[in-house]
Amino acid sequence: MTDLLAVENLSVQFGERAVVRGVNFTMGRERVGVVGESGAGKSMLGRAIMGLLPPGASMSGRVAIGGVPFTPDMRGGKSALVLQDPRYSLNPAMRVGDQIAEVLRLHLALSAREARREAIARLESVRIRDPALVYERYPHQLSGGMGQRAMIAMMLAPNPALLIADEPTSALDASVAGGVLALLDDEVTRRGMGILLISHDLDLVANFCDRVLVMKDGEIVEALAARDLGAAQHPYTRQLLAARLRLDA
Amino acid sequence: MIEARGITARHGDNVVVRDVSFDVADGESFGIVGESGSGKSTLLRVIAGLHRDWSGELSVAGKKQDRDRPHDFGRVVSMVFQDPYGSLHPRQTVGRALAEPLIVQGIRYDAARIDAALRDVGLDASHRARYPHQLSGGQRQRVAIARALMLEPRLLLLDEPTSALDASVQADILALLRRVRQARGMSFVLVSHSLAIVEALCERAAVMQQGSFVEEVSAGDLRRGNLHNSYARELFAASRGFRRAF
Ligand SMILES: Nc1ncnc2c1ncn2[C@@H]1O[C@H](COP(=O)(O)OP(=O)(O)OP(=O)(O)O)[C@@H](O)[C@H]1O
Ligand SMILES: Nc1ncnc2c1ncn2[C@@H]1O[C@H](COP(=O)(O)OP(=O)(O)OP(=O)(O)O)[C@@H](O)[C@H]1O
Ligand SMILES: [Mg+2]
Ligand SMILES: [Mg+2]
Repeated sequence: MTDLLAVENLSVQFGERAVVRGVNFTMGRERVGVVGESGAGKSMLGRAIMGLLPPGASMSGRVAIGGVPFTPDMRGGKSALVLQDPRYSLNPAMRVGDQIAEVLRLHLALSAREARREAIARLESVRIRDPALVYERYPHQLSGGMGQRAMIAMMLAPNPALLIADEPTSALDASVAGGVLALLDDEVTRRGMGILLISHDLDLVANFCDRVLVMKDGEIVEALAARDLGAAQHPYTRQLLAARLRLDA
Repeated sequence: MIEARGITARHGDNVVVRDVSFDVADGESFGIVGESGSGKSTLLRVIAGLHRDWSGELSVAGKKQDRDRPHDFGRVVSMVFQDPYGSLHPRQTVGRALAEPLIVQGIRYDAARIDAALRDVGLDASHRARYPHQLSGGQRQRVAIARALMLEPRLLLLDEPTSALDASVQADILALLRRVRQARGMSFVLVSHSLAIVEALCERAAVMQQGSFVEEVSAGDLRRGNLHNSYARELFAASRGFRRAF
């Protein structure tokens, strides 16, 4: 079977400094978590896969989606990226709902009326209260967690085969985060989406994902089944596990 | 340190903070947890003097506060914003961003002071010349924390200060916050979606939903889940939800 995503010897550099170093992995229609140190290169890995690196970065290596080398026109329907700073990746001059409706019209061939109704439903699906009201807001008028959820709704709108989500629930309270994760989970089980979930929350990754990649200094230092996370061998992974803060610790 | 009575705040026609009252003693830390969109950031911005459309009575450091704050308010209170990207000037280097609060208050400083501030948050002199967009999410968040500590404020308002940090760096930052708080007798108001972080740093906390405080609890009751309000209980249950024994 062809892999949904195949990453081969992927490196990202800023001038002389390599921040992603020769990363290799493949994934199917599953949930793969990426954890690791702040600055380890997780976001740059996600952005490199989607060809969305910032200016000044150069990249080498190969990325294939469904066996086909990545091209920018795969963004949207084939693969989508929820960036770590969502409020800065939404269009600041356009109503949040209209941005989602536009994606829906483009990819699902809906009429303007249908797209609006569907956009409101999508906002509701990420547990936004008063979705019709929030539809009319501009990105700067959303709370941190609402911006994050609007971005998720927008990226899911074209039903991508692969979703790369960079800290998609970091601004959400546990109850809403649970709802959003259930929605993502449903996309995986119902229509076979694959998700690459970048998160610093080990407990979340261990529960939500099938497999986990641990990154440090631009490299994947350990790859293991999520259920084996507690038995991780690499000293850095053990250090992360030991540092977890828990309510009843 | 804070006396808040009947604080109500609006964005246009929407009331987003409703009749909220609470006290924070000198040297005490107070946590706020609650639903995304419930008004936590807006409430912090009212205290910081950054959101003007509010009513009620507010005293900070023994002085009654109006819409406009005195020039030296920045010496008493500083804030770490939820969105470090938005709070750091895009065309200011990290070094300049850290110096800015000192410059504004006319305080002399040298490069060693800036480097020490960077080291405190696990960064180093090599980050001094970078711009915010040249940092990772967690590195930006740490610069914002370092900047808020530059003036050694008496009251620190923290809005999701470690949401982008891995467990190990987060533990270091929490230790730093505890240390400076003890050394300088600071007070914190900490907004976090992590009950564990609130429990680790605060003596008391409020649970917020749709603009109101629905329950106020001690850290011990928060840890034990000794909560009465139905939303507060739901939040507590959900935060244990992602847990698997390993
Ligand atoms: N535009 C840039 N120029 C130079 N270096 C950069 C730039 N953007 C990011 N970096 C550096 O690249 C490294 C990897 O960054 P990346 O954002 O991928 O980290 P991360 O693992 O996502 O961290 P975090 O968990 O803090 O978000 C970091 O050390 C960062 O400082
Ligand atoms: N500039 C604005 N104009 C209109 N409404 C706004 C504006 N900023 C925030 N709001 C609304 O005010 C409410 C409270 O927002 P606030 O940012 O205080 O929430 P929060 O509790 O911090 O949420 P989160 O946990 O998601 O950060 C939300 O419904 C939000 O949409
Ligand atoms: Mg990142
Ligand atoms: Mg907020």
